[in-house]
This record gives sequence, structure tokens and C-alpha cells, in this order.
Amino acid sequence: MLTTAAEPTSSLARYGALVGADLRRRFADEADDPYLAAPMSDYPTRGGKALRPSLCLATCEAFGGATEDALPSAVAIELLHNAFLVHDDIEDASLLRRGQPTLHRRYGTPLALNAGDGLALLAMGTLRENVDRVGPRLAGRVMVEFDFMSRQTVAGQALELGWCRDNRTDLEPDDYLDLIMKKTCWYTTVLPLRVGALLGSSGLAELDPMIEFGFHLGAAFQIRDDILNLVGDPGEYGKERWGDLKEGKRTLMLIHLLAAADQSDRRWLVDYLSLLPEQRHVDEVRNVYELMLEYGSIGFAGEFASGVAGSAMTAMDVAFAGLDDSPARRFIERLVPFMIERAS
Amino acid sequence: MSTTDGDAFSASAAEAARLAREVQGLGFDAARTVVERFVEMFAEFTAASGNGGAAAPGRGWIPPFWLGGTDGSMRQMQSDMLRASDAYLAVLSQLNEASMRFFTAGRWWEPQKAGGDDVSLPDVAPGGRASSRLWLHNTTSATANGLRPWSPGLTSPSGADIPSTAVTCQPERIDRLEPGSSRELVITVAVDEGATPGTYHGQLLVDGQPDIVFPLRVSVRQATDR
Repeated sequence: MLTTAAEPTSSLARYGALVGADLRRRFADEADDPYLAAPMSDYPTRGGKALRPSLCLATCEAFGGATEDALPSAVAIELLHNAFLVHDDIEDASLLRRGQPTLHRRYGTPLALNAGDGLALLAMGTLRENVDRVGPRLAGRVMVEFDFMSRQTVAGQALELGWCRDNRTDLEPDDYLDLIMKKTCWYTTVLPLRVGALLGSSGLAELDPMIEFGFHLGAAFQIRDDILNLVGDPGEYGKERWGDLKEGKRTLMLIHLLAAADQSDRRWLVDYLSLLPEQRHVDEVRNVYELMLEYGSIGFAGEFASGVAGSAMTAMDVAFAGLDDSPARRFIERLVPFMIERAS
Repeated sequence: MSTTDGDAFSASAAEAARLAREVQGLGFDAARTVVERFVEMFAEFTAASGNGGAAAPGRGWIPPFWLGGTDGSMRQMQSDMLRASDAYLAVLSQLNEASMRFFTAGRWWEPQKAGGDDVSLPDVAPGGRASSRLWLHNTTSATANGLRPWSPGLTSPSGADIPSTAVTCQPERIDRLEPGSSRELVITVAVDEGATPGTYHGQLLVDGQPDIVFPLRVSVRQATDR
């Protein structure tokens, strides 16, 4: 059973500072460009936790590599993450991101879309630096990792958008896990772990165990994120509460509710989901939330997440087998409960 | 027998715990299924799309000088060896780019301009040898015969030198090179045990082709450098 641990703040801050400095350097050349550089640098400078790049840098160190060797890849992960967020926020018509207006609300949708493209392309350019830094052999393997991850992420996003568009109400928890593996886990945890291990070991590390560890960690992280959208403190969470309910997102809670609700409640819920998000009234959104409480959907998701997360530490032991104890390894050990039981 | 409130509470709590374990088990099993599927998917992906220049696909790959074992020092040594190999490949890559620029610019028979492409060999310690590859492309319309590559030696700014005999080429002689055809050369510089550390510059010439000049450069490290 995982236990709550203090946020590994100092290490996160150290890795975050490295990535932040690198990002600022990349944006500095275009600092006076109000149409591209300003919206591109907006999200990355809002002070996220830099979990993904930190995981990559720490894994590289844990495998004996130099932090700098993984820096271009870590920065590319952060840039891609922000590119995904910009486009996600437009697709979901989200209002808030990290406690501030979303990019399309601040700059308008056309400029925000373009900035998202710019962030993704900047990430690809950053990866090119790996050739000089770690040589063509490892740089090529890192590109394969990013290639696979990018395909999974957009496929997962398409799946989620498609389920909403077609008002799918026949989904199972397995479908949800498949979705979040593609949409979230691969780029949030699996890729940072694999690339960090790849670079830290000069390609010697066995990378398959990183899929298991990354999935257990990332899936629990995502389910927790979905629960926070329902019950989190809006001030701490940084996004609008119940946004997922308004968008009709097929979360584990919604899938459970569709399966557990009696005939009458289910019929109402299916009708609700057939509306466009902007047609859903706040009272109806609240009613979905209350039904989730009534049918135990949130409790179900919490226990399901515990089952998924329960073997994360065991999977980590396998993935990091044979490595010496190090501050980087201890940081990752502390990161596991932090990501799974976070409040924001 | 009547049931007290406490018993009812205990029974209810036990039932809740059982249900919780059941749901946790569901999550664990479902997660394992997804992981197994994606491990296979990634393996199929790398098999179908190539592996980005890796010596072999990631899963189950044993590097050419794998020494076995999983302890930290062994892994560190293997990592160091692979990093050295990567550095060597990076130099080769630069060298290939240099020769390509030289020839695709149509300057096959032209002398190298000062400050132009420099053919760098990997750094070497005294007593060691450094090798690099080079391609000769005949971009003219005439057959070239009796090409013998050689170097008059390399010299450092301090006046130290690496003699002509320390620079060898394989093959030693190319009897015939047809128009549009190419041959690979391997240049090796053997550095004497007593060589003075520093950067040495020289040239590679080809007998019978007075205008062909390849600048050569090699850095001799301190004997104690890794």
C-alpha cells in the first residue's frame, strides 16, 4: 500500500529550474514578438511542476548519465506537453489553465492554435541537439521514442473526442485504461522514464519494465486528476471544477455511473450526454455529480486507482533493478506517492 | 441470535473492505493487460519503422561488447564504452559530411581552400592509434589510374611532428577508379609513446593527382586523459 509522502519539492525545483532556464533561453531571441513568442511562452512560464522533465532528468541520473545529456529531451517533453495543453484547451473549450485564463481566451483561438503548433515544432528542433550531445546512435533511438509517443498521444486524444462526439455509453473500465495509456501515460511517465534510462545507460537499459512502471504511475495520476476535477479545491487545482462533467468526458466515474445507475437515472444521463456542452445547464452538471456520489462512482474510481497504483513501487524496483542508491533514485521513489496522492 | 449495531457496523465495514479489494483487483488486472499489449505494440512499432540508427532493436538487444552482469560498476563501465563509441561515430559522421561537401561541390580535382573542411581524426593518447574513413569519388569524366594516398606527416604549432611513416592508408593504392565511381579509404595515424600532447595538422595527398589535398587534424591527449 502506498503511503502519503511529502512533496519532493527541492528536487522538483532544481530540475524545474534547469528546464525553465533552458526554455527562457529558447524564447529570449523572439521576446518582442507579440503574436508568436508571447503566446508560445505563456503556458511554459506559468510555473507548472515540471513533473515530466524532472522524471526524465532524474531517471538519466539514476542510470549513471549526466543531467545535461537528457536536457534537450526533457525540454522537448515539456514543450510538447504545453503544445498538447494549448490544443486540448481549445478542443475542450476550457476556461482556466494553471489558475489563469486559457491561451485561446487570452490571445484568441487562431493565435493560440498557431502557438500550439509552434511549441510542438520547437520541441522537434530541440531533439535535433541530441545528435551533437549524445551521438547519432542514441539520438536516433530517442527520436523513435518520441515518434511512438506522439502517435499514441494524438490517437488517445482522438479516441476521447470521438467518444464524446458519438455519445458512446457502452464503455468499460478497460476502454478507459486503454484511452489514458495513449492520451496521458505514455507522454507523462512512460516516455520520460524510457528516454531517461536510454540516455543514462547509453542504450544499455532494458526499457520494457518502464512501460509497466510508467503505466501504473501515470494511470493512477490521471484517475486522481479526474477525481480532483470533481472534488478538488478550485484554488489549488487550477482548472474549473466539474469541467469534465460539462464536457461529458468518459472518465472512470462516468463509465461506472452509466453501468450502475438504475433505468430512470441512466436514461436521464444518456439524454444529458447527447446535448452539446454549451447546452448543459449548471444544475444538470451538478446533478451528474450528485448521482456519482449516490452510486459510489467516485469511491469506485478511487479504489480502482489504488489497485492500479498498488504495484507501482514493485514495478519501479524491477525497472531500476541493479542500480546503486542515489539522490535521483530516491527522488523518483518519493515522486511516486506524490503523483498518485497529489491535491493539485 | 439478534444482531447488535456494532456487529452490523463490523459486517458492513467488512463488506466494504471486501468490495474495495475486489475493485482494486479489477484495476490491477486491467492495468496488467494494458501493459502487456503496449509492450507488444512498441516492439512491433520498432520492427516496422526501424530503430532510429540503433545497432539493434531495444528489446533483448545485447551490445557488441556486452560483458554481462547488472551491478552498478559493470553497467557504468559499459556505459562509458558506449559513450566512447558514440564520440567516435560522431567524428566519423563529421568526417563523412566533410568529404561529401568537398566532392559534391565538384572540387574533386581542386585544392582545398584555407579554412575549409578539416578532416579530424578521433583524439588519441600517446602510444595509440586513430582511424577515420574517407571516400574518394571520381566526379570527372575520365578514369583515374594509380592513385596512391599518402601524407608527408603532421606538425603541431609547437614544432613537434608525427612522421610520414606513422600515417597509413588502406588500400595503399587504387589502381583504377572509373568516372562516377567511389572507393573508401581508411586513414590511420599511429602516435608514438613519447609524442607531445597537442593538435597536429597535416595533409593527405594522392600521387598522380597534384591538386588533391585533404587537410588532416589529430589531437594527442595527455597520457593520463581518459
